[in-house]
Amino acid sequence: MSEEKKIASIKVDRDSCIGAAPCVAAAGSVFELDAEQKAVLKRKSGERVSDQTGKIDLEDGDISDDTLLAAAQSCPVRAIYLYDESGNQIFPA
Amino acid sequence: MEKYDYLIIGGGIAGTTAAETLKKEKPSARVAIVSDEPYPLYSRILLSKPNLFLGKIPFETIWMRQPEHYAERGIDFLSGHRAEQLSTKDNKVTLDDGIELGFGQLLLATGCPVRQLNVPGLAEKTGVSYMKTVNDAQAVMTEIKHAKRAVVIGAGFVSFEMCNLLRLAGLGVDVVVRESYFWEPVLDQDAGQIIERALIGGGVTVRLNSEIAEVLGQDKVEGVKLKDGTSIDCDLLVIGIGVQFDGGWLEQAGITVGRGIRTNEYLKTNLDGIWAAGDVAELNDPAIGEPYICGTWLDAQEQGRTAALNMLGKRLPYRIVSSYTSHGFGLSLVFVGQVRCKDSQLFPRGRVESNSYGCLVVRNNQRIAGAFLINRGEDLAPIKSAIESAVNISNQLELLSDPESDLMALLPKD
Repeated sequence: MSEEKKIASIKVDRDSCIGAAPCVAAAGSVFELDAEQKAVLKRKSGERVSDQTGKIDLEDGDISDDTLLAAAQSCPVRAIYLYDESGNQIFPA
Repeated sequence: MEKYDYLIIGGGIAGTTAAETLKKEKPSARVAIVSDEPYPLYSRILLSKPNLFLGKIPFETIWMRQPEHYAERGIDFLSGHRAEQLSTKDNKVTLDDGIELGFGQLLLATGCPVRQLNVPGLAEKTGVSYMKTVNDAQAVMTEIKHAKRAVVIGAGFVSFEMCNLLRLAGLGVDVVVRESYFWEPVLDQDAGQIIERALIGGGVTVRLNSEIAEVLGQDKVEGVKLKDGTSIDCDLLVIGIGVQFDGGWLEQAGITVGRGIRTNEYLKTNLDGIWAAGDVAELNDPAIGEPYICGTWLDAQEQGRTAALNMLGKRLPYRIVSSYTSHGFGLSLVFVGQVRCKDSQLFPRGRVESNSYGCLVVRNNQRIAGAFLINRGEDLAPIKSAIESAVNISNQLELLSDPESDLMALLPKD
């Protein structure tokens, strides 16, 4: 895990998500569960999607990388993906 | 004898969360975790998921804490030790190697051992796995590189997910089920048959009403023989026949047990200062009316946190309604709340022919206790809310009898 790399975008793999929801506990300003109890990202635009989303497009664009990483690490099925500016996967790795 | 303010037996997510909560809230407390596995916390539910199993994500992602994490948080982590004896007279636990640990308060978060299959020829053979631990999973991941045929025993999450993984890995798979339909009696027959059809469509041979008589082979499994005389060749045998609580040592110490360790809604056992959390805890909450066990990851984590806070003097009832989702063979299976309920009424949702089907589990024609849903995720949120707010549905039976009704109508209007 290369903690030095800055998180630029996030994605939730809906096929893996089991709705266990520790991500919501860790970073409730970024994640919530949708009607199917799958984790979605809260976008500034009001959209709620699991698709890859730039950190700057999040409702909480100021969230710290540490909190995002903690949320991704708390997922027991590793359904949260983090990417750096160049689109390289930072986590899981 | 080492003495801890808070001694935690079990290094899973319940025990780990409890220890971290205790240290966070009360940094001066002496806290220890005893774990019978020689590893830090890992994701047990990831073991049977395709991403890990088929190598799409690195195996190392299974670890949810690093070994040095415990010391950094000031937690003594005694791994590779099994607690075997409890004395409530002098507040101490004895480990398998004779070490004695004293405690102020004790949290039992041991999890539940797998139910063992007891048939001739099984003992000491390689190529057999219960898929409970990280070692079990690694052994199977090695086996599937050259194995051609697998037999899976049982009908539940482990069995369903392993059938899926083994097919994805290219093995021939037979699933041997003792009951007359898949996942009996947790699911109803219609739901069981949807799963059977999906398994068969995915190339699995489903053998119902079948039991293993003998495991064949010398040192390594070469096949199984069923009680009806049928022999099936295989080079891998996966057993997923549930769990069996093993609480003799606790009962001897005076702790009340049932299918698990009995607790009240605050996760306290019948003895002061002794608590339980995770899937070893059987909650007896007067608001629910009958003892129940929560088996999900979220339950274990949140019970660990709740028990820790209550050990510190808070009085928080555990009343989270959690759900669990499993994917495979084109199906999405969801369990929410309490599904295993004797004497309950089932209200079907959707239609079997459309493969979008489920049942609400209702108690006393009054309260939704839980539900199982196949490809019906849209019903989950209203059901969860209805369970959480303990909606009385006695006047809504007509609505519930319509399998296509809008469940949002059950919820209180605000």
